This record gives sequence, structure tokens and C-alpha cells, in this order.
Amino acid sequence: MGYEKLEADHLDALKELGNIGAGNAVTALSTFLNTEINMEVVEAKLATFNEAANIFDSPEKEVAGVYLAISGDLKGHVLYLWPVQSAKAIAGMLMGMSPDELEFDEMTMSAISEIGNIMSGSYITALSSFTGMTFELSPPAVAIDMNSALLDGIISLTAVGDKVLIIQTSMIAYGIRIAGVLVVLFEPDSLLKLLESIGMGV
Amino acid sequence: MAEYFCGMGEWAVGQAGDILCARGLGSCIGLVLIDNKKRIAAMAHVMLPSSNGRSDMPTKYADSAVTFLLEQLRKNGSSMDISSKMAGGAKMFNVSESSLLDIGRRNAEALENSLREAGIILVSKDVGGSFARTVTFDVMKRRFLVKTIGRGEVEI
Repeated sequence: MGYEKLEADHLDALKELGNIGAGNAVTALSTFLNTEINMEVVEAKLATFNEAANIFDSPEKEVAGVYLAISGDLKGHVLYLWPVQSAKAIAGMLMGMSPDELEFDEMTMSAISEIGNIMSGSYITALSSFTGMTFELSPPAVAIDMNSALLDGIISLTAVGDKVLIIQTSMIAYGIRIAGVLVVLFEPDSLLKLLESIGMGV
Repeated sequence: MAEYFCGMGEWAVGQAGDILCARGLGSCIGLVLIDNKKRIAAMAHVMLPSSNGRSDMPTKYADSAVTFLLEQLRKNGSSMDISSKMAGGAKMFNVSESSLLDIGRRNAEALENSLREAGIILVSKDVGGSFARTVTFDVMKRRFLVKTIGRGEVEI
């Protein structure tokens, strides 16, 4: 398929799916951390590679990312990204430690991975219930490095021409100043199937 | 004199005084073709191993990037006595069952094949691993630098 056939209605529908997924993910995290989390912005947009790879201010910005592969009825990718300070803050909450005391050791990485797993799992579960499709998620994989590098493989695999369709949710937990971005990218054929499943076939 | 940033799938040609740059490479590869006689060079930020016949963005794909960069060098008055260097092709996430599994490695292999077919020597490479790289090439000094977070900066 070519993304040129996607119209504003399709993007709105994908944004709505993003809302459903993100709502579920935020509730799961709020419950897990027992704190209020606000969902800031849900976007579904056709972006150029470089817009998609620059979610934070620079392609070299150091971030923590938790990645899960989506398989089953659809093929796609979920990546939850936090600036490193936010990743430390969220791991600190889980481990009952001050973020300043934390190193990115095995314990911290495991905590970050678990949070990414819970959020992405809730997000995808909500999509699955809504669309009636079955998804499987890989175990979470975590990495801390440059923002663009964590995204480039996923962007490469889901791109059509010089564009990629990204469903992106920004979340902020105000009390603890944690900012994170959850991105979902479906492989092009899967995106088509996803739209069909909600009666919005291209 | 300018600094050219090659985003994903993009390319640039530089002359003496210019810096060519590709930032935040994960599975992507920063390839530079260097004129051995004149101060001119070309860089590509390569994303995928194979174009499968697509010609929309030649430097997006390893199998079309080399020929395309050579053509750009020729148009810009290169001596066409060319060597090459490259870095990137990492596996950022330790996954076992995703299509992400080996894209970085396949990118590196495909580029090496293309270079071999074009008869261009690969002088040095820094590929693989599980860390991000930023590459810069100073056309005047012919210096190819690979920067990382936490692993410092090396010239290859």
C-alpha cells in the first residue's frame, strides 16, 4: 500500500485507537505506581523519518527505551521512551529509592523494563479488545542510548517511501515529573488490516 | 564551509572545509566515500539492505547507495579514485523473535557487497555491537570520527 491513500479520517481513526490504548496504559501505570498520570497528547501522523526519529530535541539525546515486538494478527512495534532522568525517577519509585542514588545497573534496567512491559501490554490489550484481533507481544527489551538509534531500526522496517505512520502518546506524571513517549508503528500491510478491522479500509 | 547533516535515507557531498555528519545511528549505517586525490567526499545514511527495485530514495538502501554516491561524486568533479569507511549497523535491543533481529548486520553485509561490486576498498569499519554512533567526516582532514555515549570517540 502507499500512504498517499490515507486521508484525515484514517488518521483520526488511528488516533482514536491510540487514545483507547493509551488510556488503558495510563490507568495500568497509575494503579501500579499509585500516582496520578496525565495523558498529554495522542497523535497519529504521517511523519518523515527525521520527524519520527526526533521525538526528543536531538537525535543524540540519551533516552531509556523499552521495546516489544507485536505479532499475531498484525505485525508492529511498541517502544516506550523516557529521557534518562525520567527513567531513573520512575525506576526509583518502583524500587523505593531516590533517583540520584540510582545507577543503570541490572536492577534498575529490570524495573524500567517491567514498567514498559506493563504499559505496552495494557495498550495492546486494549487495541486487541477493540479490534477483535489477537496480538502477541515479545518479552520486553531495554536499552539506554541515543534517541534516534533506538528508533531507526523500527522506522526502517515500517517506512513507505520517505514516510512512516507513527501513533504517539506523550505522558506526564506531574507529582513526580516523569515524561515519557509511547510510540507504536505497524508494518504497512498490518496498518491496512488494522484500518479494515474498524471499518475504515483504505 | 558547511556542516551537512544526513538524516535517515539522506546523503550529502562535501568539499574541503565541509563536515559530513550522520547522528544517532542504531541499525542504520553512515557510509563515506572518500576521493583519494581531491578534497571531496560523499556520505549516505543507509537504512535497509535491499531496495527490491525501488528507486525513490537511492541512499536509503545499501544496494543502491554506493552507485548513487559515486554518480554524485562524478558530477562534482571527483578524480574517481575512491576509498570508503563506514560505521553503525548495531543491534540496539536484545530481541530474539522480531524482524529487528539482524537488520543492522544485514545492512553492513549488503554495503560491503555493494562496495566490492563497485571495486571500492573499505579501508575501515566500526559496525555491530549494541550501542549508538554518531559519525562525522572532515573532508579537508579526511578524518572519520565515530562518537558514542559512554565509549568515547574513535577515529577509524
